Amino acid sequence: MKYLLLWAAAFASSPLLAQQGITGIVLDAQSQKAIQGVLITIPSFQIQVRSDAKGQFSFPFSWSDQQALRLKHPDYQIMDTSVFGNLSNLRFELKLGHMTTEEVTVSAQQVSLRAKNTVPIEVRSINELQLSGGMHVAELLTKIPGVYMSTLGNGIAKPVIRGMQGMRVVTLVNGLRLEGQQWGGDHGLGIGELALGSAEVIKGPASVLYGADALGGVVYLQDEPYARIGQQTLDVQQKWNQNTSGSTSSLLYKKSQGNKRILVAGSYANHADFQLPNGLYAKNSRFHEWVGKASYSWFKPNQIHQFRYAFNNTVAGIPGHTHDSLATPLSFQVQTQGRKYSLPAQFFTNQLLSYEYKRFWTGQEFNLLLGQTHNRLVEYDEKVTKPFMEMDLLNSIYQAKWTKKWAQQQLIIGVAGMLQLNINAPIAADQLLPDALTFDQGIFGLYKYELSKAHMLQVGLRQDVRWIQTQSDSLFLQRRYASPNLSAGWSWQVNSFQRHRLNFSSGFRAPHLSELLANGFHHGALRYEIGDSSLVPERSLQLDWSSDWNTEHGSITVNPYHAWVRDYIYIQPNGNSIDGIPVFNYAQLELGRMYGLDLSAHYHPHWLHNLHWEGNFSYIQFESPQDSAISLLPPTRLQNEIQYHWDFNGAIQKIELSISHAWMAAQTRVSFQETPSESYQLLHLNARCYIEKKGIWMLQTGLRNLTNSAYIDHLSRLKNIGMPGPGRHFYISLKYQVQQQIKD
Amino acid sequence: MKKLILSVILLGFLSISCDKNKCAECHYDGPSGEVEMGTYCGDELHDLEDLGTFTDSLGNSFVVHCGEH
Repeated sequence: MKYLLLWAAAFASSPLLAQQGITGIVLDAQSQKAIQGVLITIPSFQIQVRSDAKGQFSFPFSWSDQQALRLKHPDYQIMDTSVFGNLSNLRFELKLGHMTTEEVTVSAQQVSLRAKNTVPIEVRSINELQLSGGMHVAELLTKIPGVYMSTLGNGIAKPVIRGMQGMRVVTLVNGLRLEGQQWGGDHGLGIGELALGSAEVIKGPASVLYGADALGGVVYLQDEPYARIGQQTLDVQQKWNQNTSGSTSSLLYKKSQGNKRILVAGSYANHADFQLPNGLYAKNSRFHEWVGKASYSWFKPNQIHQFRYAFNNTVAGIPGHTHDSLATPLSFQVQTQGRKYSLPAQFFTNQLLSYEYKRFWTGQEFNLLLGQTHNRLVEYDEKVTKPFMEMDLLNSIYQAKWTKKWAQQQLIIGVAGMLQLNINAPIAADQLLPDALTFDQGIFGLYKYELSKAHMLQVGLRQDVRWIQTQSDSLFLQRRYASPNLSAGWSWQVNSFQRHRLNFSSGFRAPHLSELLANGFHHGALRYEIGDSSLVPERSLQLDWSSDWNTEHGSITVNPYHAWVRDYIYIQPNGNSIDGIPVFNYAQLELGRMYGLDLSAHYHPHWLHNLHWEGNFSYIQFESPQDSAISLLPPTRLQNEIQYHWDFNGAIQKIELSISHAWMAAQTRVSFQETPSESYQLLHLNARCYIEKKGIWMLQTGLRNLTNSAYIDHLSRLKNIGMPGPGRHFYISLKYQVQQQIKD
Repeated sequence: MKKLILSVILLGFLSISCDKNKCAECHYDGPSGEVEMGTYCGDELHDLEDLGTFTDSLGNSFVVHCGEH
């Protein structure tokens, strides 16, 4: 399918909107008739407007530089173009078509089309991922090839990228780094789905972009766009899950007027113990969660200011606890479903506050991000009034970068830093980690050069330093870790439907305090942990190749990769136990290789317009001369999904039906004393209906684990106690949105 | 609208405030199994957990557990 960028800054003969800023018109390329309802977005500004009945639109401001614009309408091909802000009376002509085009990405430190980036980035809309009926963000992301999830029951889950998780995966929310004690396998992501719009995943080392720790990859979550200018919207949603007798209620309000925009949202979820395929319940797998968000943004010519605040408060039971001296799997399964708070439990609270400033000049851009995050982790083990562990993690974060564009080149230079303080509460019975101060500082540069329309080069360099110092008199440790990192990539657009990409990137991860100095019970992980203060930083080098073929009716992506890993830090049992709890030591693998293949395909036949088939395959292996494998290595996986939709002209606008199948291979490549896993399959059925009646209604329902498979996922922290995943169940969700135009 | 945003932030801070008046059902592991002790709250609960044991009329001490688990 030919894709034409066709626009002209021409003076239209029809009357123009008499407003300041930039105006334009959108027409059908063939009939030259006005197109109503085209969504025109400026990704850098996160601003959207919609064309009216005359095809006209306006932005109430201008800019001096060239900005990317995206025009989208369900019946037409998406148009991506760039526009100088000093032009007016823009004219765009859209061609009929239905195939989606490249997504816009923000996670590679720049707003660009995925095609204009050599970094391996996957982009997904949260709304599309939610059709799978997943329970939380980590589960939604598993639709992406190479991405899995590690869980501890239903309430605690985090993403796994090509076998890397926890401290090796950097998670960002609207550019702000999420720090939530991710060193613990029993510590979840700490961010809910509320008001999230998209997720980007960078697979492999991304230390050039995000500094130390981004050894395995990056998950970049971005909120939904603000309401279109001159509009306010209210979304109300209620979900019910049969398996947990669980309910999630959420509210989202957005308003954009003049040059100001706000977003306020809140949700509450309450889930009881989940039901197993045998009819029993997973003891103490219950959780409830409060989530709140507020954003306020205003813009002036060539500048944007944005404040964001988010909090997440989760109380989750920690399954896998028993006083039975001879525990069996049934020791952790009960006949009665419980919901009330019970021991052991984890209280996990995240608060994120950020301010972002963007300033544009001709050919230049400056971004400043300041953030403050607070994570509180409290774990109650045996006593209700006295926590076993209570830690506050305070992070002060900044990033400043300057972007210069000229001809076919782009240069980004930036600095970033983080000051982190970990404080134990005196009331806690024990301290797994001492109080400590960590300071990160990095300086980076990214250079992109479009050699021609077909070839592009991208190079990045970064230098990071990390200082760690304990604040404890009894346990003093002071360390400094420094490392340069490099990334280099090349992309080749062979023709309109074929592209190849090669990327080389390095990663660096300094040992975490938990790995250096742990010495105590970590009940959530069901082990006693002993650190090693002599650990050195991990390093990784990855080669990533991807070939994409895209036509109007299908696409295929082949993505092999290979990473060399040095000094990989791992934890394994030493054969001893203390008070019946197994003792684990941190150690290091001198050398290892992680390699694999991600495949994905999409077919959309012309003869059956509304049918879509999507499939993906992920294969990962790890080899080391010192050990058979690392722990929690994801098994080979094959996922398929068939979607069909019907479009109507009445109150019912659209019905979508999908059936998905996942096959997980057995995992026998395990580390010392790790439990292997058997192969399993899951079948899910989901349906969604859009109704327009005094607002927009979206009704979604589904049946998950249709065959009631008693499966134990290899990445489940409960596999050692033989706890399977949820059995067959259904869910239902109703969302209502009302929109209102408002006067400027 | 600023009030609404501030309210959300305030709600966030309030949500993490400690609940000083916790209540929990307690029991001890007697020779014939669990023996329910009833519900304890606030300082009473705190003192019972600090003590950690229950001593019966015969002078036998048993470990106390509060909060069903």
